[in-house]
Amino acid sequence: MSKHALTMIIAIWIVSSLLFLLLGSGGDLDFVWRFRVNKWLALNFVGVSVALATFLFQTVSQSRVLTPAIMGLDSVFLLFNVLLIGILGGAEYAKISGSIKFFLQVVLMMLFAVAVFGLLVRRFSMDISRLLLIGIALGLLIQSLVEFFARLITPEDFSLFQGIAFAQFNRVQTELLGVVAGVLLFVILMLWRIYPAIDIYRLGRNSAINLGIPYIKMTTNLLMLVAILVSASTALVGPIFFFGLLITAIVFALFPTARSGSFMIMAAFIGAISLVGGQAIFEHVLGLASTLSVVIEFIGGLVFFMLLLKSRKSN
Amino acid sequence: MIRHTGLTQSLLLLLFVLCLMTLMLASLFIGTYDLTLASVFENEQASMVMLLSRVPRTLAVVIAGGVLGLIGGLSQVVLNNRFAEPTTIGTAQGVAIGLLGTHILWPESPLYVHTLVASGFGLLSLFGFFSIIRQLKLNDPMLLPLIGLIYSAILGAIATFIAFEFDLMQFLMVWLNGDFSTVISGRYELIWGAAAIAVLVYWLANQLNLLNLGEQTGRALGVPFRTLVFIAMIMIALSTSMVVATVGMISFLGLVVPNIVRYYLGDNLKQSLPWSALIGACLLLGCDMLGRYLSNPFELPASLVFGVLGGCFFIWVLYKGEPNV
Repeated sequence: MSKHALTMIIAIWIVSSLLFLLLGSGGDLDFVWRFRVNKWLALNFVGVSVALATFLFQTVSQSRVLTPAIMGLDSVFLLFNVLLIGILGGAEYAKISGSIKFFLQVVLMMLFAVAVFGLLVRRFSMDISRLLLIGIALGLLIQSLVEFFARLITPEDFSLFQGIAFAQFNRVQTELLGVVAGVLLFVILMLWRIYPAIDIYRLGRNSAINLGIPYIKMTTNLLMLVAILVSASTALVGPIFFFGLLITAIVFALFPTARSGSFMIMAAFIGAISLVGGQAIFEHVLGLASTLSVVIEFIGGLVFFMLLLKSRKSN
Repeated sequence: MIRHTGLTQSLLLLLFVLCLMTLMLASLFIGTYDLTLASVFENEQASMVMLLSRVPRTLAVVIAGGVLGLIGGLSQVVLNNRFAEPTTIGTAQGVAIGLLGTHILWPESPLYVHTLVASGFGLLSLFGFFSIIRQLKLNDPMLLPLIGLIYSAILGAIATFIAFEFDLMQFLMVWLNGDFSTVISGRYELIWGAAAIAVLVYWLANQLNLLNLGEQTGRALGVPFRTLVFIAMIMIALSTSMVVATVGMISFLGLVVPNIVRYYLGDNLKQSLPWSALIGACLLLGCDMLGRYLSNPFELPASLVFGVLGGCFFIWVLYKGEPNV
């Protein structure tokens, strides 16, 4: 990746940010500050965390079509919340502060990611299509479980739960911005320290071990980072299934030979740009605040299908 | 594969039939309205609940379970893949698009017209799926369900989009999530059509068995292979659309049941199909009763109860890693 490309991408990011913040505000900076800055931050955080989470997950699973969301990690977030509402009751649930729920969620998602994905990835690393199929089946199962428990809670609790389950880009949970910012900073610092090792890790299990990478430990660490990042994005906007796939597919198409460090920087920026720029267009120009997620998911689904078909044809 | 002698098999069959009878009898007396055998004969309201709701409901569950088990078995032979069934290859989603279409364009038409149009769409989505996998020449049995599930998801997304635009989300949910709480006398009878097709499939089982030979061997031996596949596809599409239009889809049933049956009985359809129907009916009835029992006085849809159990089974089979399918 050249310096030129990086400058370009930063310029596009700045332009789309300005569009999002200023378009239709009539130059009223007080308005921008009060209503738009938080949302802008949240969209950036979500874009970056989804992009990084997908890249790291694809690194671990050695596949370009898998994402943590397709394998049900986003649904685990819903399962956690519906169980919490069911056990405590809606009133008690609402009393717990957002950041405590967030940290509980992070811990749970980490445990799930390491236990389930770690086991599956290790057992089926030779058989990617079986891994993918188990992942999709697991995602479907967790969704059924969520629906199952959602039916068992009282109607009032259910409407509370629905608010969480269908959170969208135009209704971000801004109270968690501070916590998420801290968490993201931590993850980025971690990645900054280990990104050369990720390149070696990507050579595959045997070469990585030969070159001195503690493979199992690193797999576990990467999966924990994935879980933290997914927790961050789901806490802000709820589950988004194909978005991450879309970003990594774009970056890979643009920079097929990028090393992991530059790949992650590009993915993070493109993630942020597609949300900030997309929301600017959909919300301020077209006046369709809720459709961006639908459009992203639909395009992402088609990309997923095409990637799968292409990988078959080239074999 | 474990083969049973004729005698043990007949005994087992008898056992399962008895089991189904017991479940059906119990199903008549489970629900929000308390019924006893005596009250049915003495109390007019009780006998009405029995005749209008409980009896049709129990029959609908048994037929749906039986038909889906059997159709799953048939799909697996047609596609030569043990993970194929109407919800994993997009047929049910195609049917839902067809139902939405007739609902929007021609709402007054009778139910059988809706169902026929929907079967047409189901057939189209089957053809679409066939042409995709034919191009790809799959050598890994895991890929067919993988592509099928994504194909289903995309068709499902189209259906969701249409339903959302025309404010028909509730209808779509009813079709895609099988639920028997709305079955009452006078509104479920179309499902008997699916039962008739199931009988037809069983009657043709010896011919359909020839599909197990594979296309090349089959045609070399003079089997009208394409015609057989086409007939099987029409029967799959028709019965799927009848089930979806009356009670809604139950995912994974057609996947789980035939796989259990095949494990014990092998590939002979004439032998395995009645078992698939019987076990499908027993399992679905059990799930429906569990759904009525668990959140009394409310209900959980049978498809949801089965979705959880069937999903676990699916993952378990995949995880265990059958050598070659």
